[in-house]
Amino acid sequence: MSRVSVQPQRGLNLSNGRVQPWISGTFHYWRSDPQLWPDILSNTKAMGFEMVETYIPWGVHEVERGRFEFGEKEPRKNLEKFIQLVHQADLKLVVRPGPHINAELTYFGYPPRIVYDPDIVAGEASGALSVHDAAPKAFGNLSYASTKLYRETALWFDALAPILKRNLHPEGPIVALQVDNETGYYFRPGAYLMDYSPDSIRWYRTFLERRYGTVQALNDTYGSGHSSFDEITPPRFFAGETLKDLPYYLDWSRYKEWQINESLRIIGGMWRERGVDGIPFFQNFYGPTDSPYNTNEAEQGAYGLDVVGLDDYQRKEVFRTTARKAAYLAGSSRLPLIPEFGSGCWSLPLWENTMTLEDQRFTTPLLFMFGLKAVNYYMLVERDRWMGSPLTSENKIRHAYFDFYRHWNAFLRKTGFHEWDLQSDLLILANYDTERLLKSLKAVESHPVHFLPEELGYAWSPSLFHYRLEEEHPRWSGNQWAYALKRHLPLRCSDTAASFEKLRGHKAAWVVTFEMMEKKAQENLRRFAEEGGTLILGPLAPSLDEHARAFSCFKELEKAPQARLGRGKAVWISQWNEATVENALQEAGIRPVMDSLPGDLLATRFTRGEKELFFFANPTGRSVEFKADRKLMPLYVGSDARQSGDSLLLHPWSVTAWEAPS
Amino acid sequence: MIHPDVVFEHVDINQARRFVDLSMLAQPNPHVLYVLHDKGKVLKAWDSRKGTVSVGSTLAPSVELAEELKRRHWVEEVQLIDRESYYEYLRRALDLKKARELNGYDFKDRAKDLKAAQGGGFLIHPPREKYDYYHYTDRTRGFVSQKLSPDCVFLLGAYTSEEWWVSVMTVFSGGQVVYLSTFEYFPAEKLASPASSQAHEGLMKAASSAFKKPARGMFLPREAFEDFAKNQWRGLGQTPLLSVENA
Repeated sequence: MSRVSVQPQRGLNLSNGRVQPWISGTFHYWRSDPQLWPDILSNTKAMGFEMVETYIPWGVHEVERGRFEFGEKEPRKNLEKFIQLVHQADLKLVVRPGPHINAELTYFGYPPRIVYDPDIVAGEASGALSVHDAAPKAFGNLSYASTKLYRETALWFDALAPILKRNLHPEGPIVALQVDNETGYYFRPGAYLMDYSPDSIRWYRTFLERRYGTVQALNDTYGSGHSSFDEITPPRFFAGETLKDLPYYLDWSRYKEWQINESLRIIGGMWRERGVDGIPFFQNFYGPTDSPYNTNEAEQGAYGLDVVGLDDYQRKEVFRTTARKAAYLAGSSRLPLIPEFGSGCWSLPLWENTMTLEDQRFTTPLLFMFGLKAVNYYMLVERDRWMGSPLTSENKIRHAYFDFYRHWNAFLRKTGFHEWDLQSDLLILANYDTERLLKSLKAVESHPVHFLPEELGYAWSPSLFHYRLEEEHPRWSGNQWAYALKRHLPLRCSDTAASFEKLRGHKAAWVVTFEMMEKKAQENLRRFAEEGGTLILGPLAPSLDEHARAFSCFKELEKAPQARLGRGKAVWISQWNEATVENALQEAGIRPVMDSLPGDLLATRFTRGEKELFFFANPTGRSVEFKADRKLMPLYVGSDARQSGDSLLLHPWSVTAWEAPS
Repeated sequence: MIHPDVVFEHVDINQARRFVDLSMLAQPNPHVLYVLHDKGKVLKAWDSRKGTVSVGSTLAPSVELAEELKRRHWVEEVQLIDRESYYEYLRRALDLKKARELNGYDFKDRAKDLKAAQGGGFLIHPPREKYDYYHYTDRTRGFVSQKLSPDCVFLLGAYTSEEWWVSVMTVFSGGQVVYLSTFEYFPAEKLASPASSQAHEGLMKAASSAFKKPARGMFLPREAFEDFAKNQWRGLGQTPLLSVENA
């Protein structure tokens, strides 16, 4: 029975037919005095929030193995009372019950007995058990393949499931559940850092068996002579010398992507087995979108996830990354969601990107400007190891923060922002295959206990590929994104793991390509062109498939830099040249969001029926004045923007929204 | 020195940001030559400022060679890393039993100490002073053991004429840090006139009274603190250490 479902690109479809925009904020009930809970919820509503979110920490509620405390002795742990108060306050609730939660807790929310259990802790390539080298206490990074981890997690879920089940919408306030948290090797994306535990190696062999079917098929690809999958050991670093060596290493990276998603499938299934079902299940990758984080794959259905979002904590100065993340979610997810967006920052350990209210005032609207539709602000209520939230742990209001959220939420509500559509003629695709390849080419990995520069790890032979990929891929991708922003192109982003359906509807798709690209991705791109789109590739046209075998869907580009493909065409840009890019995009019918905008400015356009809404952002430290090519009415301008005749003045580091009267 | 359940609350985010920005300017960033090799066969040499460099195709790692490379490449530090020896180091450093036994900083320190005990296979020349989360850990430990008592409250505040610019209050119990905050912990009236010695004394008395421990404090103008943060080897110089016994 579906109690709540995802309304694509809008929000949560409640069973009463109402679409609830997902704009929530975090409050950790167990970290505040329960007597304050009603007033804290009241202040949350006063900021304009209709949803709250909380972790439910296994390690806090477990008294001893299999025995749990839910408020019988300690009022702070009375989860059900908290849930009922949320319901009474007419708020909706998002729950994040782990098993991993982090939450800036010493053991990331696990009971200590779990994080020091060698049967549960992941293994490293060195043969060491994987230790999270942290203050105030180091502990084991867990293996997502550990059979024992799931057995122990089942005890926690058994205890918690009845409480959650009787409080699901509409009987209770719970409208969404997070499956685990930031599942992704504990912020260690390096291919050869982990997981080499016995359980993980067993999973690796299962993965290979599913991928190849027979060991002979694997031998044909690897050029190996294994007599069974059980003989195969995973790579600990890259030592390939020829193209034929690559699949062995790429498969390890692929396995790591699958391990994450498979783990999420199992955990989600455990909830469903216990009757916690009928509401959207989601996951939040911690930020990167390259291997082993395959967001497009994770959301495609096989893993039981309705939404996969990305977390974000950044200062305003890294606005290009923030904008890219929102545009990526807009092009990849059925509900572009940031499950953790910094409202304040953790204080232990202090972080180099600690962001202040000034950062949040800029980056929050910037995310929506580039297509975000759902967000959870982490944290609305301050507590141990967290600083800079609108409410203190004693429920005192920090007025500047409070007023910002109230103002921004009022804009979202007044405009019905979740019903507006980001206009995107252009789809920029990150090359997931190149990114996976780069992850696989590391001869040594930097480690949290000993920093090594990324570049040192790329000790592969340059004779493998035409370019040094670790230099050329980021250079081309960086140029591509900077150009798209500077030219104010109407766009979304995704990557080459996206399904064909996500390419549809765009006039052009632009992907930085080198030799290697999966056959399926090449076929999707060709089909996009054949159905009338313009496809921009380069600096090299793909010539190898995922097994490093000769394969190209774009042989026509061997003869000329442009080729007609069905009703569309492919354009090959072999040297970075803005004029060539400009020409290709113009021929594809891609026009800026608005003509004659200053290059420093960022601009996007939304529509709802005949209505148009424009965002302009000034990501610089000086004021920018410009003339819009049409009359605009201010919708969200804070106190920073000024309109004088046709001229708009944007103050430093400001985001504004304007409606064009129809 | 830090308790696993340390409480870190009432932190003024603007002060934290100033401290982080200042610390990032000051954190060690030596010019390093990294040489990755496989039992003497050089896989790659990387100069942290120049990029890929050549050091020949083979090497026999030793302190003498590291010193020679340091001079030849005009770098401050040389790391000669045999891959298997690096893995051997990781096997020793990442000891789950030690992780359970030690506090986080002691575990980190142990891992750092081991770097200097790996022989030629994983050689860092010259050995680095331990630095973590924006401070030199040994110097901090030295200050705490020599100047503070195992049970006390320590206040450090940098002020302008109008406000507390950066501040930290650290509560020690049995030699371990159990509580950390900025001066946001105190009621607003205690934070007035930050440059005055009466205010400093008032904060120390309030802290001593709240935590029922003697208080120690160092208070200095913002400019002096910035100078310290950029040149940490100088220490806090002539800044007096004030005392209030149990208030």
